[in-house]
Amino acid sequence: MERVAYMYDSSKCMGCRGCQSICKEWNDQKTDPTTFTGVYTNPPSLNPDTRMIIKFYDTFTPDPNFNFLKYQCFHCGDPACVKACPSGALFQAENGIVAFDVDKCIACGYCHSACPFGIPQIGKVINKCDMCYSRVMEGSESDKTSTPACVKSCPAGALTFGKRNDLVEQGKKKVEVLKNKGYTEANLYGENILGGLGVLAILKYSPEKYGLPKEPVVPTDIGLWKGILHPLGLVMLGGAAGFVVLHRALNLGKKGGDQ
Amino acid sequence: MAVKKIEKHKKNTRIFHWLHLITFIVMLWTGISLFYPWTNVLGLTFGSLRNAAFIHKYLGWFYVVLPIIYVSWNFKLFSNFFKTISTFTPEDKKWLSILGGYLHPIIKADEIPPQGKYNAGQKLLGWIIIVFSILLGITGLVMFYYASFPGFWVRMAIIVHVFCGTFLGAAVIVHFYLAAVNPTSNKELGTMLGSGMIEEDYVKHHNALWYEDLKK
Amino acid sequence: MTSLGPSFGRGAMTNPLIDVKNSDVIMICGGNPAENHPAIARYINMCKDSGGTVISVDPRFTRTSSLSDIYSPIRPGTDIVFFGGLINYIIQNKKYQEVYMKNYTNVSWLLKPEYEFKDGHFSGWEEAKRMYNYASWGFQTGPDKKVLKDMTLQDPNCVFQRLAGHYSRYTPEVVENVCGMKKENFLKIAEVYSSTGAPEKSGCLIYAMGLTQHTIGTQNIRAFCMIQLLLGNMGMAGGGVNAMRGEANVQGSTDMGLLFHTLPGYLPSPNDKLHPNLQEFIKKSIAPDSYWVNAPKFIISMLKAWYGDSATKENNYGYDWIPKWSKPASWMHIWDNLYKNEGIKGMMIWGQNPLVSSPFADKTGKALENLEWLMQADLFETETANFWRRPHADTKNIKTEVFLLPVASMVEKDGSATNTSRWLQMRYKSVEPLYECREDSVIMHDLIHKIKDLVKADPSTPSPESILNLTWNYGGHNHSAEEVFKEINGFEVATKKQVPGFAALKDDGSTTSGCWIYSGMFPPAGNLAKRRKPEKTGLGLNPEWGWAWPVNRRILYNRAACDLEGNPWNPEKYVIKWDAGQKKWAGRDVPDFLPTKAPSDAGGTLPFIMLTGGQGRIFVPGGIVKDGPFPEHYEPIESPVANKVNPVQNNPIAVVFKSNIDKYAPLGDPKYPYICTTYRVAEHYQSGAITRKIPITVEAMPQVFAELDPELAKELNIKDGDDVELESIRGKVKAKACVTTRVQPMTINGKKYHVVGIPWNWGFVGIDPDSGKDESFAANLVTENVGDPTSLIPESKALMINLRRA
Repeated sequence: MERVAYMYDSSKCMGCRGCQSICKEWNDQKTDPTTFTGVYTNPPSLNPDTRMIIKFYDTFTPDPNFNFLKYQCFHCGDPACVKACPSGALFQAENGIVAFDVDKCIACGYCHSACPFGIPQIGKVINKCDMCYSRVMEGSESDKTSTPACVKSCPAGALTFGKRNDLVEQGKKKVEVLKNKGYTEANLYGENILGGLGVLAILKYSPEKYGLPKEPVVPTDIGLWKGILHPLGLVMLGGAAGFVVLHRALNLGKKGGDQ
Repeated sequence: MAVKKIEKHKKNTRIFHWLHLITFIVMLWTGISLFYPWTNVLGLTFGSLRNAAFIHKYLGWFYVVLPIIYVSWNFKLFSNFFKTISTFTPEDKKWLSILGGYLHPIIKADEIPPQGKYNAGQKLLGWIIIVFSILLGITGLVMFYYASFPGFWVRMAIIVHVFCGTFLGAAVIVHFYLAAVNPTSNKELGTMLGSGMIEEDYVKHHNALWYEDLKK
Repeated sequence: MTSLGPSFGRGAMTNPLIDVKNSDVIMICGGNPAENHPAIARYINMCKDSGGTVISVDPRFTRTSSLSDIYSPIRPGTDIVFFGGLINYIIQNKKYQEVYMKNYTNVSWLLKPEYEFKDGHFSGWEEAKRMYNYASWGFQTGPDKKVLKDMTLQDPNCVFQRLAGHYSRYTPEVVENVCGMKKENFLKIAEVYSSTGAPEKSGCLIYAMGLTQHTIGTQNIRAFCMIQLLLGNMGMAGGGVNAMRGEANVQGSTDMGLLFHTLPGYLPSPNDKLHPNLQEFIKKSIAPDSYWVNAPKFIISMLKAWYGDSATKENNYGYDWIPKWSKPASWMHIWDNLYKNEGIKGMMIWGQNPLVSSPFADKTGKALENLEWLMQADLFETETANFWRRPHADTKNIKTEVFLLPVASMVEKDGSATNTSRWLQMRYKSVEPLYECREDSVIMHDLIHKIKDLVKADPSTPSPESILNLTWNYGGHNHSAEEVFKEINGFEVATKKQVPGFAALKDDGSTTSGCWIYSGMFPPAGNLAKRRKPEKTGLGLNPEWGWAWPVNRRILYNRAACDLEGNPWNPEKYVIKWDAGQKKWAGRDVPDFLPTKAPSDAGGTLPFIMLTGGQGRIFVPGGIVKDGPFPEHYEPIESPVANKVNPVQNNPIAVVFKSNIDKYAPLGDPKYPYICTTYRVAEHYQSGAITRKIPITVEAMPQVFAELDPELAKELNIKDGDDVELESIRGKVKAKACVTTRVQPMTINGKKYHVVGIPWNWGFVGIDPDSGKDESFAANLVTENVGDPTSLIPESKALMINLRRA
């Protein structure tokens, strides 16, 4: 099955938050009390009721400017959260979407600590963008119910959903166009990092300006977790049991009283 | 003639041990069900894996708070205990080197050196329980408030926590066997879960140095 | 609207929203479509994808500016200086589309020699009366009464020469000094935009309230119209003057006669002095030499729609029954009248929130207190419905009886909306109205029938026929939008057959039509506003999606998209062309021209068929636009600086309301040193009456904020998120501080001035965190009751305030 993805073109985005609103609506999320703190970004960060926010930036250049980032799970090709999840609630579907089975989540928070971005939010259970997995798998093309809700809602045409390979090609072309317009830092975020992200972002400026890690990696200790600790635990418990068995075997026939 | 008995463990200690023991078993049971996929099924004892997680997260506070209460209320008693288990005599070292004789003849142990109130193995266990419980508490706290710590520290805490929990579990399995099952030592069970009393003859044999101290 | 009509013939957005993708250059001034008409962003982006350039000129760098390639700030209220500078640039650098300008506009017409502009006034200024005598604002005519023209454009009295002279004062230096727009930015913008003067290129101008809500608002747009006429951008794909109307169905509302001075289809509203009887009314509605010569057909058909069989030739089709206005009843006039207790006793407010959206909160609130009764029909309790217990109200002493009627939302009723592009699209009832909510039409049905009963019972009612004879057959409690549409479209009285369009309307009482410009929307074939067939390729005109007025014409004045021979200026993006073989105009759009009139026929090269003379108006004669035939810069009523362009400080006939509560800060008042402008945010709709009751929008944009630049913030010790207070001479409002470089101080004549902006979507009723406090957070606490003389729109975009930490 080919990997699907969607691409966010920040040069087409105008920060209207149609996507943020429809994500809340479609996923039946609660809202939380917020206040105006000096930036338009609200809620100020992802939280257990908020899977996706638009982040606003107006300090990228000394001249007046306004830039936006659609921020949510990036659906890594090599998802650390899936590796870390002890209960197997998080999984990577064949088409690359990283989704989760809420019934299996134990709210341990390991996914949050494993994610190079710290994206999964844990309330009673995990909450993060699942690329509208049920829409993608069960929707129909004809009435566009098979695309994520955010993609469908965008009035500016900044979001496109489809085969990842196609989107990467389009994204790279757009980056060239932006570079020709003078945006020397323009880049396609997510082309190769973390196994290639399932959410590609065409950025006008370098990722660090947006607060994104330039070269994030899956933490090496994740491998330690399941790769080493599990067998080690087996050894330890097995060793204890083995001692017991051995002792009994060596002391068969000896009854109570003195040694 | 009535069997002469010596008091080994006071009532407070016994109650504490009992409570902490139950707590630990539940913590181990739920902990193992959460972090080892092949044991996820154990979580169903509590209805669901999520319930097991909930119990583990919140009972953990009790696991840490209970010893603090016990130590505060019985400080002198605990200090003595702590002094005892912190003193490793040459006899203790010898005892450890032959693994208490438990695996004779695989580990040769012709002669078991005389032991105090607690044999070297029990002293070691005391340390393991105290140190690893503290580690479990600290790492457990970091895991409880995972959102307030950098991801790296949480992940390290998880690794240490799981290791300590499993190790402690293994130690407790051995401890349980020796204290309650092994025919040559299961009289100890009564000192903790029974009347707190142990037969004098037993003490003379197993805890010779303690017997001498008591005689003084 | 009040500028588009006089310049081109119809007061409406000339091109569809989608059409902006066809532009070579888009310039957005005084508008923030990304936030307020987000649907257009897709097409702005498509324009850029095709290589187009987008220019944004705005006092702040908005979310629309983030889509632009070139941005410049501008001092609120100084747009005419900028546009005048552009006109001057176009003329000096010969960037105009010469053939188009000479033939499709009135640049060649000879003005009366008495016409002049001197010292800030146009000729005919009568100081004592403080008004203009418009006699000199006209053209020289020959013995045949036809206007004299000079196609060489050399005659010193021709419009072109007068135009050049008038705008020669608007140099790039003046633009920099008055607007605060750096000279190099201005020249760059001028160069880029005027490149659309090339015949095959098109540029579109987009604007919204940022240009219209000024005492010179009409003239702002007039300047836009003139620029487009000079550059040959009217009628072209990707051209046009594109008004982003301020509400989703305001176009539909004004089409159907919402404004006090118009009837449906923009027929004039009968005035007791000017139109004492039907004959006078008809005479004054006809504009000879234009399509308005058909006005009688529209008027009679409309009266037949209102009164059905009761309207006959003998009773002048009921004309005598209807009330005529004697005093202007514009928005600000109504509230002034009510405040001064000059006659209004009761008020019905449908889906509107004047306490927040009116220019002066305090005056509006006190005015409402004078009502004997108020009916508010709305989805939610609004600030207006709660005026009697608004913050600081003397509730005990307010005697108004207030009725709050819950009405159905747009998804709970059938109807249509006419978007800013003049497209009528059906909207459908998806659910039955909840709880006790009723559709407005159902309420109106009950109301009218009850009023009819009361009128019948009371013989002293003046002009009872005006009510009793109204036909009202729309299904009653099972309201049928279709019945309304059929009547709006019109039908033959005898056969009840729907007319195919307004060309079929008659002035002999044999046809009806509720709104002639909508005639053609529901022909015998069916309700065309229901159509939803998207076009696959092409310009985005989508002729089978919905129905556009007039007659499904998508781009107005499209004859002008072709040269004198009828060939398109831009063959690739052609709109219509003359087919010599078939002897008719045809193409991708409905021709805005008599289809069979050849280019070589008389009038075959006059595209602006709704205007006398058929040529677009660079010069608007006769006081049709009341404050000038050419736009001229005047400072906003509250301004920090003297007018440097001419000696008259403010628009001499700006409508300034005087009362014991209306106050205005004098020029350069040090108590109010900062320039303030108002706007909206994407997340909230109008006064927030609906969106501040929706959790998702409140979460995204919870509180009102004031945007100020970092320098001013430092001076006043204000940090992000601080509580600040804006104060004008009329009132105060608190907000949260948003310190940002998107607002820049401007240097005007060597001195630095700061601009502070505040959105107006907040009030005191809602689930947002500031509602329910004993405080209102509506921006109209500081704005003022002054208005444009032609449109009477309030000047909400430029006023003077003080700012401090609260």
